[in-house]
Amino acid sequence: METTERHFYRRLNRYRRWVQVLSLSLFAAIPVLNGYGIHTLIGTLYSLSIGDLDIADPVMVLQTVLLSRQIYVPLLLAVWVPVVIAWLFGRVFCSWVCPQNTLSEWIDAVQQRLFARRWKQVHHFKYGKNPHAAWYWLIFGLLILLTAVLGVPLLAYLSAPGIITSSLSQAILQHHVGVEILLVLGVLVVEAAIFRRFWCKYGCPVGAGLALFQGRRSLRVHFNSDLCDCKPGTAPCYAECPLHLAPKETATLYPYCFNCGLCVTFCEKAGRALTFGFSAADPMGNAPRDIDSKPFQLIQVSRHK
Amino acid sequence: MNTLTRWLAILSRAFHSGRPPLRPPGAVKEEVFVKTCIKCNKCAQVCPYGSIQMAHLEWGEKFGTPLIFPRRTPCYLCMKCPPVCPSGALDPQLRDKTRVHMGVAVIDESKCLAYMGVICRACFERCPIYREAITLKDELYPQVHNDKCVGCGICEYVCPAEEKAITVVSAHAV
Repeated sequence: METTERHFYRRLNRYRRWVQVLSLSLFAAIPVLNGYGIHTLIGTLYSLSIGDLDIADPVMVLQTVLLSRQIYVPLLLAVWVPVVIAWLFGRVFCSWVCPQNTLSEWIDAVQQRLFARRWKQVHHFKYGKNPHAAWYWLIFGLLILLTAVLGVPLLAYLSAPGIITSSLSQAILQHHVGVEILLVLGVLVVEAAIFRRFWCKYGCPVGAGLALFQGRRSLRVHFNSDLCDCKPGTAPCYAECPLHLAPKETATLYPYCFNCGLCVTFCEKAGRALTFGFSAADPMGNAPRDIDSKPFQLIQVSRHK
Repeated sequence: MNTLTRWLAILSRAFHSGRPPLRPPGAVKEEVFVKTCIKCNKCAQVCPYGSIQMAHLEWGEKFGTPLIFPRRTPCYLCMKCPPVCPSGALDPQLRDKTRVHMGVAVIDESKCLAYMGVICRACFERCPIYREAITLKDELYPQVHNDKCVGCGICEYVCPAEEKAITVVSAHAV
């Protein structure tokens, strides 16, 4: 059992990268298939249909309700898939599927290769704290308020996954793309040059809309301080986090963390102090109240301490 | 560059013709439509003729909504788009093409070849609401019947006159 779990954590990010590539190709394949008259899969990340199953982005549904001031039941029901996934696994849509995050991660990886020395100076072993969750909800609340007050589809303009997949569809089916793709490119440029990964961390309304449905029992990162064998004051898991979060501070990790599992995969090579679990962490943000992991902890302690 | 010019051409056609483009069949009232459309592109994806274009950011609050430019590609009333609309912006129950109301065709008799003495029945022959929306007066002169015309834009597309003699006035103030 434990070995399969280890095996899984080690490979987790390899699986994730494959899913990212596959989902990006899927959104290119949809319009191509549509062009050949196959309409089993239609839509974009604003709303997607798989056969008769309709899936809609909860934030876009919220925007539609806010703007039109009326409720269309089939649209409201279409949010169940993302809501259930977010409720079980947190914002895994962002880390596994969202094309904006995928592109952002690739640009990050390229920068890391090209500017390896500077990257280390800036990002390695950087100790920090997580920003307060209030900022996250404040930004999201402001966007919703602006949408409702101005009466413009602001959330649609800012939905990077929606814009990317729509532009892909339009590029393939109609051979042109709109200016809205500049919003996405602008975010990518600013991220690469100034604020690393600010969009997924603070700005994205799609991610925030999913974070709304995260519960106390959703998949989250757990930290067991007994197992952490990194030198005091160092934290390679901090440097590993694409969103620049402090994975050890699990109490303040959410809603910012999108469960990509890079810290967990990394910690697998170190102390195995970081794991994924469904049980809620205790207020200290330490070990999960998970009886099953106890015997395993003892083995780990005897090996590392 | 080619795509850019093409895109600008579509744009300028929309703005400089001075006439708003059409909405796909089954569209609800314009002000409701803009707010209800979820911008998912499904209608454009199922359209077999590529008639539906999506509005880009320069359309402001209409961003992401579907448009039809009849001079580029008219709507052939295949009625595939209304059922795929997830948000009710297009009436999903609509199957009957005679009940569509996208706009109304208007004939400018001063430009129409038939009225100028040339035998031309292009709009009459291609009208999908055949012999109902457009009829020929005295077997020569095309006439539009506003109560029957659905505004698909095929007549405008096929009109051979140098300056289109028949144009569709959108039912939506797009």
